[in-house]
Amino acid sequence: MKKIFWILLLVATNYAYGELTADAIMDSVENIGKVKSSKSVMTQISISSSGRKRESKMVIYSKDEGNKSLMVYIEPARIKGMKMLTLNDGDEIWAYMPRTGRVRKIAGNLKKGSMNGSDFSYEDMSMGDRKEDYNVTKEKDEKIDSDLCYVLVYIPKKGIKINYSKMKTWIRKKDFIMLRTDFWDEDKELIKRLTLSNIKKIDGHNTPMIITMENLLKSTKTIMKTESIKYNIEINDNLFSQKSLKR
Amino acid sequence: MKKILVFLVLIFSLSFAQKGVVLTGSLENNISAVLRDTLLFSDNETFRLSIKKDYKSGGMDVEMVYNTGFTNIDPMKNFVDSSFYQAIADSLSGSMALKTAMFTTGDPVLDTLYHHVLGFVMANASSGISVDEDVMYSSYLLNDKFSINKALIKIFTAPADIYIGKQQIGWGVGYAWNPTDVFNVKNALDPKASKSGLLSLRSEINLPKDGLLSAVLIPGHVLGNISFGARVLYPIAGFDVSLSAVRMYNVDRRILGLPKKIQIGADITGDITSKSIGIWAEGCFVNQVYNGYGNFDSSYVQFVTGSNYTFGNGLFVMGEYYYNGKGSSTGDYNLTDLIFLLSGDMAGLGKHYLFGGLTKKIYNDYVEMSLFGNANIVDKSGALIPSLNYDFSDDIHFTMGAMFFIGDSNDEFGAIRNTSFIKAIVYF
Repeated sequence: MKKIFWILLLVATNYAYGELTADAIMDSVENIGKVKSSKSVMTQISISSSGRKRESKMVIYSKDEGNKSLMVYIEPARIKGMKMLTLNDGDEIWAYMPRTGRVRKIAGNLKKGSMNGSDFSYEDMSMGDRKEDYNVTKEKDEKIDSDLCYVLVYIPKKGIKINYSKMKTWIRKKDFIMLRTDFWDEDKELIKRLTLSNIKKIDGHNTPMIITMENLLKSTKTIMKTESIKYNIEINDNLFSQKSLKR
Repeated sequence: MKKILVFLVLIFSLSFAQKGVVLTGSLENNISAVLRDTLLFSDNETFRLSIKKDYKSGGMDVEMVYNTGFTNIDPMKNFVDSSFYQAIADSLSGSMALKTAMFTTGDPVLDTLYHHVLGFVMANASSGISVDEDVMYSSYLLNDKFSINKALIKIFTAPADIYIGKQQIGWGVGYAWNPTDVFNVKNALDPKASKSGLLSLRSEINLPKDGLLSAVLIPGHVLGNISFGARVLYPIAGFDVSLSAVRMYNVDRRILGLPKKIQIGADITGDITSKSIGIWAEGCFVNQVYNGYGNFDSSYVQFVTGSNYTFGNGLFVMGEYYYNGKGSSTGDYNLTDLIFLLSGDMAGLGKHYLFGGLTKKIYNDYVEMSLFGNANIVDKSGALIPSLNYDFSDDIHFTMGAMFFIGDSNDEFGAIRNTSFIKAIVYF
């Protein structure tokens, strides 16, 4: 209740002549997306430029407003048992390979690499602290389908090493749900498009049931389908440790 | 064969009878070709079956492996005729006959070496050591076509996870070499290969501030053949830092005539330059508790250090340096060096090594091409391993590649014959 009050206060004080500032929109998006904990089952479908599909299924545990997460692959058999532990808002990632029984820290530029052959990079799964890492400007409102959206443009601050030179996000005005994000590469070419759709209210939270990342240069696409999700469940902190990766 | 089939049927029946038992596995076919006097082919099938059952506070995990077909061509068993390996074997011919019929690898050169190693030990053994009694407990017993790679019971309690049984141990951060991992030594020519399980008791304990304590105990058939070690890991300033200590002695060391060793190790892994370059380092100081056998250094140091980088176009490059304090600095190798190699005390014959590789996904990410190389800087020999990996479907995977060995026949890698291979794996 206290949290909701502060969000409302934050939103109210950031109105300038009836219009929200970029900071206020970001805060609202971030606060709406924050949940105590969640457990979801997702299917990842990667589609090549020739239309060939590759599917995998995973269980994702998340806690502390997404600060900690554990991803366990359950399909296909080739990668079954592979686990990814993410801590500190994605700043640190560890991978467990059941074949070698070894936990390995995902170092440096590997985070830019494709996650399990998808169009998502490890970095895409955790874009860090947007306020701290980017200069954000607000552009003129636009419509996506029939939804009026705020449009924010993110440019990485000097010295921040991020895979993208620019990002542009469309946020639905009525509920601060991010509907689309475009990504430009270091050569300032539009390369990826993230789309959130089929949004359903589950346990009081707006949940995109389909998340699509398109690689516009390679003409490939990865769809993440939410098969099931439960919010605010009890998850032991021990689950988000290197010890649990080896289980 | 019949017994194995009955066993498998029993396992399948058990799994269907028991709710929540998960069966996975793979069938792998590997065709290798090596040029000796003529082109020789070898075909090998490996069937892996994994059975897993998880409970709320524990579980069980079993992996069985069945090998069939002709003997697989291991590049380390295909020495060229004029190599130093062959020279050592020839110089030993006619040495004492040994009761070592079970020590057969299928390769006459390696078998001769194994036999001589036993002869060497028997001739030098102090009173009280009986090789005959020890042989059956040794991992050099290579004739098993059917093996249990993993068979363990897992117990999860609030302070500690306990694993009892045959299992893999995975210590260290190095890619091709892990000097701190004396329990489960890996092959630098195939670092991602599944390692054989070790019969052991392992415990993982969470420490305050995200630390982790791993403790391992490996029993022996006599009290003196016990190995144990512990590793403490802490995340510090974005780096994973660990310290380890090991006491190692087992039947393999006893058979090879090697003393017990006490080892202290450390490793670190993380990022530098605004998290764009991954780096790691791992090293150990080893003290061999000298026991009266000839010419072995009592202490030495080994370490690896490496780095990796992924370019914007997805090209992944990595490199690693290995300092082997026990290795030869002249490039002249003898039987003692081979014994250290066989025992896992060192992962190469020379003192300095460089390992490097690159991988790149092509053709809609369904094909990955890779090139890895391992160079012995001391004798200037090396191995080059190009390969193409193709994901035919989610569960069917093909690999085509070769191993090219460069150097003189008296060099470490020049002594091995070139090999090409085609591998198909179906996962289920």
